[in-house]
Amino acid sequence: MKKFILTIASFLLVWGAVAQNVTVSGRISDENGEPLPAAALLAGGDYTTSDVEGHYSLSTKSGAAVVVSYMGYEDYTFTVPAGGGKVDISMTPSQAIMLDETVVIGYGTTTKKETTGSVASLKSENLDLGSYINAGAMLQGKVAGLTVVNPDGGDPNASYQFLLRGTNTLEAGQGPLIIIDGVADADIRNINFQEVESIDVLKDGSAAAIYGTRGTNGVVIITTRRARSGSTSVEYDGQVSVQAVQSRAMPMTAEEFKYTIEHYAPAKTGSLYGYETDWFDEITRTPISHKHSLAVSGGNDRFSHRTVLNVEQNQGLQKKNEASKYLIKTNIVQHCLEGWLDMDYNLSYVKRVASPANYGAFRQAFMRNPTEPVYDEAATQYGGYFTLTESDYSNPVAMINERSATNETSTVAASVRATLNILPIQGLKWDNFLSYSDEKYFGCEYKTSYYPGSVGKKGVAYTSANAYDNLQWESTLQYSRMFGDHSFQGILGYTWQKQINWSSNMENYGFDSDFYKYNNMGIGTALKQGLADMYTNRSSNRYIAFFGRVIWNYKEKYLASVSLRRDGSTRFGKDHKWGWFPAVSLGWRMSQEEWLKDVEWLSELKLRAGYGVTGNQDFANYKSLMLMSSGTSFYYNGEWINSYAPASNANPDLRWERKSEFNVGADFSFLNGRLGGTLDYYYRLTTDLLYEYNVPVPPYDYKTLFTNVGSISNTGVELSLYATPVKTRNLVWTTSLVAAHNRNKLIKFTNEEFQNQDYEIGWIATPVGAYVQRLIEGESLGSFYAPRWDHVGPDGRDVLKDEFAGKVPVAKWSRIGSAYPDATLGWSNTLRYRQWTFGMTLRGAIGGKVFNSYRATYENLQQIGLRNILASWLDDTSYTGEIRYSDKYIEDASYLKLDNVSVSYDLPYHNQYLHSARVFVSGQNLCCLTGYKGVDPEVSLSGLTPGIESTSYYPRTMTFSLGVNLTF
Amino acid sequence: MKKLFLTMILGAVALSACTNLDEEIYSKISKDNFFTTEEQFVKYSARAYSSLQHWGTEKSLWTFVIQNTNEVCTPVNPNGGWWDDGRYNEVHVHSISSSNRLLEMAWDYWASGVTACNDVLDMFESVDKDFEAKDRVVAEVKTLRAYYYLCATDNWGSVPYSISKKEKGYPEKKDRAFMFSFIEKEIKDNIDFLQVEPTGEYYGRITRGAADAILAKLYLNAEKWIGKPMWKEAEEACQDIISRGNYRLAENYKDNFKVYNETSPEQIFAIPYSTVYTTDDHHAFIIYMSTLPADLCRPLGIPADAWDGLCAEPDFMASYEEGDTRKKDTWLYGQIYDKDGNPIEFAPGVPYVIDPDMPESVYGKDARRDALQGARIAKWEYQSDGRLTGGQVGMDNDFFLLRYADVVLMYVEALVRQNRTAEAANVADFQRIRTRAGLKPFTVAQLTLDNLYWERAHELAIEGWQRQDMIRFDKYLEAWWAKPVKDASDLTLPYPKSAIAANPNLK
Repeated sequence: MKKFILTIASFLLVWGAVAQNVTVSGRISDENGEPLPAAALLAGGDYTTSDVEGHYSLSTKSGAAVVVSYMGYEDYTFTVPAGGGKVDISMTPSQAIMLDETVVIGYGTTTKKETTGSVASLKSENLDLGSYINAGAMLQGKVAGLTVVNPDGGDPNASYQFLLRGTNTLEAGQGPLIIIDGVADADIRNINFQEVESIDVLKDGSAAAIYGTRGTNGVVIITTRRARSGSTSVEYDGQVSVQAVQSRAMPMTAEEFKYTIEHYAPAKTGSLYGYETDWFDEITRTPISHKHSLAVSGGNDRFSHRTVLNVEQNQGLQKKNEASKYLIKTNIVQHCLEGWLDMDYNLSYVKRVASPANYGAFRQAFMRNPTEPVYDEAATQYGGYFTLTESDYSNPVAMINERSATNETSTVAASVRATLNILPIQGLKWDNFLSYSDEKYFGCEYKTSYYPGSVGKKGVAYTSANAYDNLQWESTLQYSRMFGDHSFQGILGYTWQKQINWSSNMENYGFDSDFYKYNNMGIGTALKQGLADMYTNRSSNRYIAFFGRVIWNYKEKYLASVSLRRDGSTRFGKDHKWGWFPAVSLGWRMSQEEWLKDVEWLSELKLRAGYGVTGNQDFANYKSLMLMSSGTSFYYNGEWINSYAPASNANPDLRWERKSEFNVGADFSFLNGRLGGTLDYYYRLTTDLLYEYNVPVPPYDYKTLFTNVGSISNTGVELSLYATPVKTRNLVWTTSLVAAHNRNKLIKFTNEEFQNQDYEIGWIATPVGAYVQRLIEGESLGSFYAPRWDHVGPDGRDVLKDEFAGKVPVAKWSRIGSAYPDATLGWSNTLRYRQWTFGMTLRGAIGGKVFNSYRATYENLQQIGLRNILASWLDDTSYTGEIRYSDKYIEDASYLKLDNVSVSYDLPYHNQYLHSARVFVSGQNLCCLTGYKGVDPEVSLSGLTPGIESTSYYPRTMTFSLGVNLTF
Repeated sequence: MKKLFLTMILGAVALSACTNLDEEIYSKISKDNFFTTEEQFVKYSARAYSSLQHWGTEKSLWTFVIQNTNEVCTPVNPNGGWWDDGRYNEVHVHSISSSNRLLEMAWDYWASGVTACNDVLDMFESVDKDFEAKDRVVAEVKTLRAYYYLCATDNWGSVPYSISKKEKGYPEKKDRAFMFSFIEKEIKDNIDFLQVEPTGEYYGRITRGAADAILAKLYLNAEKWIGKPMWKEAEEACQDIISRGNYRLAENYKDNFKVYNETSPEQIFAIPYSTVYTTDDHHAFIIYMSTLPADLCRPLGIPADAWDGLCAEPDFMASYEEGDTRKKDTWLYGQIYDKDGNPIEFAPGVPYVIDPDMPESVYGKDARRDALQGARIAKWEYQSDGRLTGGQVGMDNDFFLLRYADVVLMYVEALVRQNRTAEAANVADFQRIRTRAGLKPFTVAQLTLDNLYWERAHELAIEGWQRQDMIRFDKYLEAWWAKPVKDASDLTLPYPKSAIAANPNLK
């Protein structure tokens, strides 16, 4: 019966198709006549693929346009002959990097061949398969000169730090300007990484200057997949992943702890409690995450859309640590008024829910005595957790169990772009972009009456609510036209942006029961006693800019681009609010010259040179104003009143950090695109650097003044190479390598007024008790200084070189090296064999130093007792002395990481409903080859004291994922 | 025409909005919007006073000086806490490095006080608005600044001198002679504008009595500071306070240190504290956290896990005369009782008995004292109503920076220094200080400088004056518990590293 129905159904379907359609068939071959299997043919909603011998048969409308595509070949389009018939197709191989590929530049696009600035352009196929916590992670190792670091290991709520072409500021922000679908300062966490279509990174000054004050740290422009006309397509993307610890700091086990105390520190046997507890194990789990994304798109030439639903649930390694995301987003494209008006609408709602990790619990688990029990029934006042009341010594299991925390962030974002094509003047359009996003954050946390450190407060509840509004309007007049051999593209624009932040929090404690958590905060007794806290704050800032740019080329041979931006920001001093940001860049495509046209192996050779000025204003609002804030209370005439004081040392002369950059480069491609690349050299100089300078109190109100003094230079070389070493019918191997070298130099740090500065930075607290880095004019930032370690003396004490009376004077410390690597590398490979695709990405750094805080703090017998120490102390038991800061803790940070290995398989099974199907498995962050003895040599390189591994962070994890993509 | 005009206005408005970059302010207030009423002026001057609240924090000038003398020591506790890079140890054994955090915080007490006073005075001058009490408030702030500078020159000798924010450049370092005459002149110039009668309205503020007491402190130490004895001037300053009769000794010694001690007739200049209004890192009186062991907190009615650090120095404990009730009123030792008066056990069957004596061998990086060793600070009554919940939650007890008993003792000392011992022995309030403590009055023969030194030490123990007293009585350089003999360079403290970094004149 069932079979009968199926037969009827398929008959009806076939009949329905036959009634309107014709059949076209044939063979698809490559340039040598060899068959191409699994080539895709698409005609409107009709779809098929070729078989192993390259044969295909497609049933579709007569006269329809059929697009044939095959990876590595140019798309081929033909029209179905009336009545169908036989069409054989011979495909032409595409160049590995297509010269006509679109490159997104600020306020517009150009093509790869016409680009004159240093812009790295990545398409979705250049990105690795895997599971990412956000789209920023996908850039790791993919762009020469861009370092992307996650200093928080496996935390699903971690964020990535970006560093482009070295450190160009002392204390202002170092993150690039992120523009997502036209919205400046968008949150990269609010998109789904599977939806990324392209990422363009504007690296040099000439490219970024169009963004003026916010361009110094580079501009990352992300374009997500847009609406497209055609019949309805449904795509599903799903994955599930698990994580395991890849690397962490290893304290002594209970057995080792006991052995060490008994043999080497017998005076401390009082610290042996007779239990065996693996504290790390007690607070962790095997995290499982899954992500699902469903996209529907389609429409006609006048109206089309793409709508995406995305659900992610990510678990962290630490118990209770979670991150989820729910996203719905639609993009609608509409062409109306007879070609006069193009509309592009975006609407999205994203909700992120997070249970943040308790980093303190990892730290306590590391240093907690492993012979202590977890629980102690007698300790009823501590909720039955074994407790020693020492400062900074808490039971980590209690820290996890007795706390609950959830943060929710919802963002509603809408934007509309209306482009008026002024048809009477060919190439002229007026573009208006209006964007608004409204982010609401709600966080709550409860620590029960047994949470370590707040026992006695009878439960502490916190809630905080923040709102962030971002309103942006951009209006540009664009004109582009060919005049004979001259191509001309011009833009004039105005942009206005306002950001408003509002934040609030409440705290209360003294609850009758832990039952209420943060859900009935008013009944806590602290509020009534005047001990609860409440706080709200609101701030806003605005940017305004006028800008213009002209791009010109002659015969696509001589290229030029000139831009100028007049930028203003509320954040600066009264007389310094506006700044000029000019840029010019030139290009010469030598390969277009007659005398090079005959060189067959040369496909493309372009020389580029550019100069541009950008700024940085990534710091807090109101720094230039003298404002008064209420702080302390004063007992006046029988009652407590608020006192008022200046909020900070105001600096009315606050002005831009100004970076000027010179960049020369070459783009080349050989052997019909089989081998190619880009080479860039840059010199960037940042002046008027902002820094919190020490000032005397009195006369100043506070100890530091935020002001413009110093200058920094960064010089570097970047190389990107891509190649297709193997290309046969069944096997294609493509590979790309990025390499970068940067040299940072602090040129000036003082001036006449601020001459006497504290140049020792990077304080490492007790037991190290030393400043490990120095700011020295003429040297790189992140320069480590230390006494040289010599040997372990007979008394078990570290003996240092040049010791005098048991000390090495600070003036005699040596420069050990800089935290910055000499070179960073990224190597990506894709191997395609029939339906199989194999990918592998390696990433590395050569040179650079890292301060091993774990060893310096915990690899020491003297510290054992109340607290645990590193198991690695047992490697050299002759060293029994106290910790003495020396270069033994400053290690080489070179590493090679296997970032990603993935295998995917395109299922040969497809029909008119299922257009394609792919499954993949991937492993991420699989291993790290390094001589470094700490947890991870890849530590934060941002900020003023780079290269110091912090001692309180999430273990590094590896991720294994299984995924499926289906297109209907 | 009208239309054109309107269009022009609209156009101008639109254009200026398009380029307007004035900051919009919401949660702070600008000067122009602030000084509108007299109350606002008072609220602004409050800043100069609230800097005083730093005194009672865990790291402050007060906690610095009590550990720097023979009153308090901080051995490593049984769990290994309170070594912290040796910063407490350094202060006690007088080998203080310029990067010592306690030293920096001690410096900040007077420096932030002076800068607050300067700012208030500048602001009053710059705002062209008068109010009724302006002269008195200005005199208060100037006298308060003199007090902060007294703290500075007392401890550091030569100090950077700045009396206005408007002075550009690095402040110059001025020696004690300069600072001495500055402080003297500043107080004398302003004293007549101050409130004489210390009514409730002036509690916690500088009055005539406070100004006289500060002058007395200045003159009393003149011999040590500028090499010129000024005992007569010290006597007169004290005499002024005594003869005006605005203050008297409290009935009980303990009345000065109760949780709600503001009614004590002895207070001359107090720092008012509150569990509610002075509860944060830089403005809380939290001696209970620094001294009590965690296991004593709950029996004493304190729901906190205190840090078990500061202890009485054993020799100081041994120096009390038999029967001096101030010993028990100042320190926690012997059998400990809970807030209801029941004896506490340390462990089942083991009574909680603290031994105030400790050998010097418990002191040092690798040594530890026992849990039951070392008397704790109990001078300020512990609030047992459950409001002291730990961390930076401050106590309600107010701290008397200047009190009448101190003035009486200074007066007696000034007389004895002028060889008028018999006259001194006849000062009734002086003998009442003795009898209030359960001791016999001093005979003329007993009224030696040495006995007077100990009398001051016990009466004013850990109130912050012992450091200059030890110097004045030539005890400071001697050896005491765990502290070696020192040379005269020890009489002033080193400048903190951060202060040197900010001002090259201190190099």
